[in-house]
Amino acid sequence: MNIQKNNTQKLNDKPMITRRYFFKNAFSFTLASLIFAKPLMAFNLFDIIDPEGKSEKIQKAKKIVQGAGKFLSTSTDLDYQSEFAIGESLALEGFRRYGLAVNDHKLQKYVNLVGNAIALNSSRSNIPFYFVIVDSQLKNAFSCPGGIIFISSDLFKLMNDEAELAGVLAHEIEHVCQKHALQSIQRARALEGLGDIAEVTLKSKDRKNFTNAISGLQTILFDRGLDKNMEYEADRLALNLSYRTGYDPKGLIRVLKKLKSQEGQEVTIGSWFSTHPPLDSRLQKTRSEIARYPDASSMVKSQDRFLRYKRRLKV
Amino acid sequence: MCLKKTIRIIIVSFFVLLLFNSANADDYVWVSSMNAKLKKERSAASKTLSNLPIHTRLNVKSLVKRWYFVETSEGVNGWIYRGKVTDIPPKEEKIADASNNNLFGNIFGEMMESDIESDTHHTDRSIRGLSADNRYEKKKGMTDEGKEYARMTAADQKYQKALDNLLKMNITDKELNVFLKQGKIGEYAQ
Repeated sequence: MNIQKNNTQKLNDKPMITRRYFFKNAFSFTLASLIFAKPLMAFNLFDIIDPEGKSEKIQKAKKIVQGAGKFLSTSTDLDYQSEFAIGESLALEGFRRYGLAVNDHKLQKYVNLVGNAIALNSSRSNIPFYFVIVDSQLKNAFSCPGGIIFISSDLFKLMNDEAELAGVLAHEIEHVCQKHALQSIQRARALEGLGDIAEVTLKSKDRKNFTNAISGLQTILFDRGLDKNMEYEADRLALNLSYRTGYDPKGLIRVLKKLKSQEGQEVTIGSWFSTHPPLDSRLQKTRSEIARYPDASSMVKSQDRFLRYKRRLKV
Repeated sequence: MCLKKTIRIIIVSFFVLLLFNSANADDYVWVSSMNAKLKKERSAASKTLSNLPIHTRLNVKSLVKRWYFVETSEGVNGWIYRGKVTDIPPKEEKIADASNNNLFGNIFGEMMESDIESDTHHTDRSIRGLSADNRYEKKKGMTDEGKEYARMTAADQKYQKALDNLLKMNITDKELNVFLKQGKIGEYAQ
């Protein structure tokens, strides 16, 4: 105990690394800490420079490194209940932005059956998934953390068989499985020095923090879209998930092709055109990936059943 | 001449090792889906020999038309649809293996298997920290947290009702099996 105090005193008297020197080389320190050491060691460095935590700048830098370290090592270690609370809040915003659920229980049940059949084979088959068709003229689908998935009526109308629906739902399920949205918000928070998303709760003193996090996620999900590499990954994994469930994995590619054919004629704000990467690159990547499934065409498309439900939507 | 011989030995060894590794990798699969069943015949309609919990390791004997013929650790032989299993071990076992195979050992093991970030595995088949029967219950409407957020943001009643109805949607295992059977999907394919 005394030895620690003496060491701290010595460091305060004659710091090994001055603040000026630190800020001048902050980037190198951060990078080195992230690449070559555990984030914990980076925190020690901050403690050496500012042992009493008096400097706001150093404390903010510490939070940034802490957040980035957390993001790189074990990002989004959020328990399911907290993840669901975030997803549920976003779902409320989803209804506000994209419209209410199509008022047809049988149709909603159908989408939930297709979605759950796929989700059962996903890497998060232990969580419940919820699917909803919303009455919207925007062609879009999106997923909220925790497993709430939206698909717009106009995107549904664009499809021609169950394998196509399965492809789109599998893409959204994979976003949930990979916690892409949470990773995105964690990354944004880390860059702003706001700390770990796992600390965000609805408990009284964190309420503002929680609503800020939801607001950030809204921007990512509804306006800006996820990172393009996350989208490519969701496409690639969706092909596999559809295939493993028993659907023709080319269904997703057919939907992308249809969207491509309508590009330029559609409202883009808030649609898949604005929140997803360019369709050309997605088509290119998915087409090269489909070569892994030589018997894809022999898998189920289930067109008749799908069209029966699609007709319900047109009434 | 000596150099050529050495290169030849290295190349042959490389391919022998590759062959050895792939043969080992194909020996086992792990259950990756809920409700996986071991069947007596290559058909969903045949007798169920055993309900297999997630993560169960199975010894593969053969693969015939989308079905694996496998043996459980208890010595029971049967068939399982390929979509229900993965050839990638569950995470816990994978980390143990990584210490042997990974140049940097466990410290970077988890990060190196990722395509995008640390906790995103090659997840066409990965299973993150699931325990055998750790299945979360369906919600029965909006949760208290959801209601609290709705109150804080003064969300319109109609959106709250829409969310409440969505979370009340319940799909039973029986309904799902009937749906898959009618659509001849997966293990019900003919």
